[in-house]
Amino acid sequence: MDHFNIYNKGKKFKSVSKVLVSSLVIIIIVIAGTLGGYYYYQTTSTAHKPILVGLEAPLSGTYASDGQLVVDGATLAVNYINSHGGVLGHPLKLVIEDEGSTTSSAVSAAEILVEQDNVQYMIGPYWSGDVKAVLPLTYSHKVVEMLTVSSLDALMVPPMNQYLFRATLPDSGYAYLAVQWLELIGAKNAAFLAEDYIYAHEVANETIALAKQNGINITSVSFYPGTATDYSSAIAQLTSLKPDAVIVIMEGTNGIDFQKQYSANPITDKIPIFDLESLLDAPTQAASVDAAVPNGMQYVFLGEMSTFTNQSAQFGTELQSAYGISFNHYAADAYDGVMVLAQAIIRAGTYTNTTQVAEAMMQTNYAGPGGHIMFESNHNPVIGSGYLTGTIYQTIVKNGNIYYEIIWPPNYANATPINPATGQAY
Amino acid sequence: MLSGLISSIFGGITYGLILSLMAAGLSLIYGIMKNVNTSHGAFYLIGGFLAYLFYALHLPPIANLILVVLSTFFIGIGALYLVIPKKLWVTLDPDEQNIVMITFLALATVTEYIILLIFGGASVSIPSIFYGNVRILGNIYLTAQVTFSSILSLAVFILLYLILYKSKFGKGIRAYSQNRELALAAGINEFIIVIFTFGIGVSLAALSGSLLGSIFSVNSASGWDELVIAFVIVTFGGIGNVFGSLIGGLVYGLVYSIVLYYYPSYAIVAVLLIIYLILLIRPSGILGKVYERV
Repeated sequence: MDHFNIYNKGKKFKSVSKVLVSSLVIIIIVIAGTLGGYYYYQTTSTAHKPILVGLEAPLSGTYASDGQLVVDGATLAVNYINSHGGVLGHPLKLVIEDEGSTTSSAVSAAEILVEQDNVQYMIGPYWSGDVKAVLPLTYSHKVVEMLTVSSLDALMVPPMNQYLFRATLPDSGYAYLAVQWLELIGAKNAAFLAEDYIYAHEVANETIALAKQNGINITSVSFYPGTATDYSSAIAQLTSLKPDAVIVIMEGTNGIDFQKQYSANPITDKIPIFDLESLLDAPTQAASVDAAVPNGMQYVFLGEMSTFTNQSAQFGTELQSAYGISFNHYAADAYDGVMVLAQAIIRAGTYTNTTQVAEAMMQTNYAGPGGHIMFESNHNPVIGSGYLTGTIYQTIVKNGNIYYEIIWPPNYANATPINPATGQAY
Repeated sequence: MLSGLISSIFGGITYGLILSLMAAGLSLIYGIMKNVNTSHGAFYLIGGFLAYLFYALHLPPIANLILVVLSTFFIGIGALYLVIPKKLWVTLDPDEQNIVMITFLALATVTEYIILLIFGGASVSIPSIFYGNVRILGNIYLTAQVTFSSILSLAVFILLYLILYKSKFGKGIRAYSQNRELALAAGINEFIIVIFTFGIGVSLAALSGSLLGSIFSVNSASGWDELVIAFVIVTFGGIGNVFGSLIGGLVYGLVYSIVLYYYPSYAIVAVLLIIYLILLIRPSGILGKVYERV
């Protein structure tokens, strides 16, 4: 025991000090090694650490196929960016969550992305109602959120739009498209029918205002429950009003039900109708209406969110080759959304400071397969010729086959609108 | 505007009439089994997609309808046999009724997903049997298909009346519905009564689905909203009374179409409110007298 008595003089004391010094050296080496290793790990791992981009879209239920198109488009963009060296030396990584079919499932998906996966960038959600529900969460975590499907203009208001941007046509774009169509066919008045959702009310108000500026009178506006199937009252209203044209927003299967009943009535079947974002853009759906009601698609025009650019065809080829699907605006807008995000991060020179990235987003001047994107002060994309315009099609029925002719915008139109009654241009 | 309203009323009544077929099936099944068939909407869905399938196979339209009814009759009996334990087919015990109700709900959900897997999520339109329009008055038209479907629905109700009131089998159903113990003591075969009633009930839903599928469209999510409307019609007409469903359907269609014409967004709310007020006066529904239940 004396050996360890530090109060002893001479050899024994020296022996104890030796032990202490040795221990101290070992401790210092261990600490230095740990710190060095940690520093080495940090520096080497951050060099390759992926930038996480959350993606929220419906991947189950009725809209799963549309949600998958968003995933496909975003994946193509991420693959392209990573094959070209990533962003600021970091690869992008998509973290995908199913938005489901309820707002609560959308909020849960956002919580997983933001609080568990710690994403700082996000594509989606898909539905405007879901965007509104998750916005407090993404805003408080300063997540830069890019909307590629949701269209509600009312979301883009300060301060909650600080990190919120849109790379697709908003509701004001729907209204713009509808009024362009009314002018194309020379309508002086029109009736507006829509499903009873908040975005449709917004489009109605914006269409009324824009039509008025162009000397067109919207004579009636009616909203029907989104779950409605029987539209005999709506058709009866139209037979009384006999408007020059009818604008319809029924994006689900209700649009198919409405079109069948509209075309089956001998008065309304000859009033030109403009279906915005309708399922009738699928040839099989349109053909089924035409088979159920002979010539049921004769007076139908379709308003689509797609804005064609020189890159759209190439993108369509890539989609076909990668996933066996043709060009669609869900994929194109998601692709553009990711590209715009990536470019903003590069401009900001940082991916960790999303406030700087959001500021850099305002310098966006990007042309991709879904259109030319620059942002307005409210973070909506600029609408109009040369930017996002949407596309108007006329459905042509020939020998029982359905064809879609592009009649607007002028630089991509391959036909002029034809009045089926006369076979002449409107 | 008046012609528009009248047109709308005609549309609503015909819609209610065709939907009352589905409600009558629900009521018939409840009258015998004392169980609420929460999978009834699934048979509406099956009817719509079978009609679409038979159309794709180029079957003649009338044969299509007959096959839809017959196929659903057997599918319904098969499903009942497979998913509901026989001892729970007819029960007054609330716990057992809950088990049956939840099992039927599961059956409906599984059916929806099977249809989604086979046909996808897109809507399908079944071509009309009759094309063109029938002019009722001035500018008031009904499509030939709606007119045909309404007449067929009325004919089915007449057939139901003949079966229930003029046939031995129908008398057996009514006797069983009114007093199960006495009916069994009199030698009525419970097994036959239950499976035939269930088969007929779900066939009515399928017929409704195939007819409305040709006027509107059907998709894998169809049937749920119609089930809710059928519940409303049955409650209003009198639970367990087949012909109460006919009246309930007509009133539903009438009220719904009038409100829909003036205030589309409030149509469902208005219908439910009016039916609630009527039920305050007649809690058992318009024809809901216990001793008349069939």
